[in-house]
Amino acid sequence: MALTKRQLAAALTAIVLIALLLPAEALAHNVSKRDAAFVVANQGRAIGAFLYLGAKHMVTGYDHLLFLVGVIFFLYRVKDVVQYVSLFTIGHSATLLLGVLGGIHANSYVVDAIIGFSVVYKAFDNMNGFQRVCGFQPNTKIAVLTFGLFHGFGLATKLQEFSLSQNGLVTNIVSFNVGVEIGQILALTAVFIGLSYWRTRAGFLRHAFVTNTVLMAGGFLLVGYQLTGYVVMR
Amino acid sequence: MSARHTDIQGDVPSLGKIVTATLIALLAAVAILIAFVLPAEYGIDPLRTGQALGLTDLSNAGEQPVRPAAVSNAAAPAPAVTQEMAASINPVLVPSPTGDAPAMKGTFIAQPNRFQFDSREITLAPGEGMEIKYNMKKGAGLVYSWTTSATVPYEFHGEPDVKPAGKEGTDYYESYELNDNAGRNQGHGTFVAPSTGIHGWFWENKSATKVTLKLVSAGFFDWVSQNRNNKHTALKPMDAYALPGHPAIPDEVLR
Repeated sequence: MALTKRQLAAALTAIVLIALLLPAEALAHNVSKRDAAFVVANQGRAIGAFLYLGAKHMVTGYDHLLFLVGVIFFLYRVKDVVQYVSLFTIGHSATLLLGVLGGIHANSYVVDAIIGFSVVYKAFDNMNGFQRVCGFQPNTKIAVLTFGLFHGFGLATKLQEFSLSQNGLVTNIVSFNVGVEIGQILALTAVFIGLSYWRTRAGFLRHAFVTNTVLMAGGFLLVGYQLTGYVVMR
Repeated sequence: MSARHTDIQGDVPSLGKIVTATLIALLAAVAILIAFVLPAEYGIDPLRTGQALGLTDLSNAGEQPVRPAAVSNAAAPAPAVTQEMAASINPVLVPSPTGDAPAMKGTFIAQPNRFQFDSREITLAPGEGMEIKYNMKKGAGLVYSWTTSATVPYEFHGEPDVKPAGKEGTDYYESYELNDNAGRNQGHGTFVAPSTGIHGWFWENKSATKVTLKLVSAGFFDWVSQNRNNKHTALKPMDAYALPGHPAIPDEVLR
């Protein structure tokens, strides 16, 4: 038997919990309506407000968070975490700025589906799936950088949903980006502390595989959710 | 790198274990998607689980459109007639006692003034939502057609001037038709205002490209309320008599 009964039970419980959270949580993902009204009404530089919106989007953006949990799952040293997260940041900052300033309109459903796929990819990687199934290990740093680029396009489409004023645009986008990084640091710190504590417990390695299975299910769910949106909302 | 990676993660799991786990993850995701997420997010409910759990209501409720604050009555011309009118057409056939033609009562609601006309073409930017509503008295009629270049979610609704008890001062409104999931690219109809107030549509362009909206209406309204970019504007309708097209050319015979 590949999985023990206990592991299966734990996985199913976690999946049901995610299912209960998702419908309500899904609404929280887009920059919310009230914030949207602000973005539309805003006609000039508003550094503080865009900092806050960026940070809020990151802290409440479960797709970015799931991916980051996957990335740092097996990173024990702060130095490694900083290295990988920096690569992710370089990737998404580049495409956020390029997307909004260059006026590149990516389809948000397609981008969000790819972001969901990045979660599946990282969870599979954490299960040692590439080594075992494919016989080789793709470069993890290049993968984080590449998916970072897609996450940035996702951030860009969220901002582009609103008619942004040209007045103070660069300042506002950069503020949003800096806000995203602040939110990312806040969320990552919490996740890293939680993971570090969990690793000191005996059950960590035993449950690591199941946790990544759940992570993967979350990724698949995001892919299905966004692809359906692509078909239905077109 | 690879060695340390493996080291920390313990034993590399067997091929069977990885494949089983991936399949379980995929199946669980598909099950949750179909049973919960699709009904709640898009109103797609193949297993009727959304209906059973009340999730489809969630998708219908959706995001509430941005409502305008009550437009000041100062912007509106004073009502010409204040008499109480019927709110709906309710035809009743009355046979004639003398054997003449039977009378059909309640087929129209007479109006004190001639109708107004409104025709506009609006470009909705990606992500933009806006409202056009007509200031109509209870029982006033409207014939309308709107068409968009792409499918848009919308809500046909009205804001009575007199709110129900306990709702005074709020942005209370009554929904006539809500379609904020699949949306449509056109709507045509005959409308009779159930209350005195402003009645019309909220449209939202959720796509990444521009959408063009064409709207033509004829009806008994005094002014047009536009809510765009969080600005509420009272617009003047066209006088139906002043329209061009009382043609000097001969009438075209269609058939």
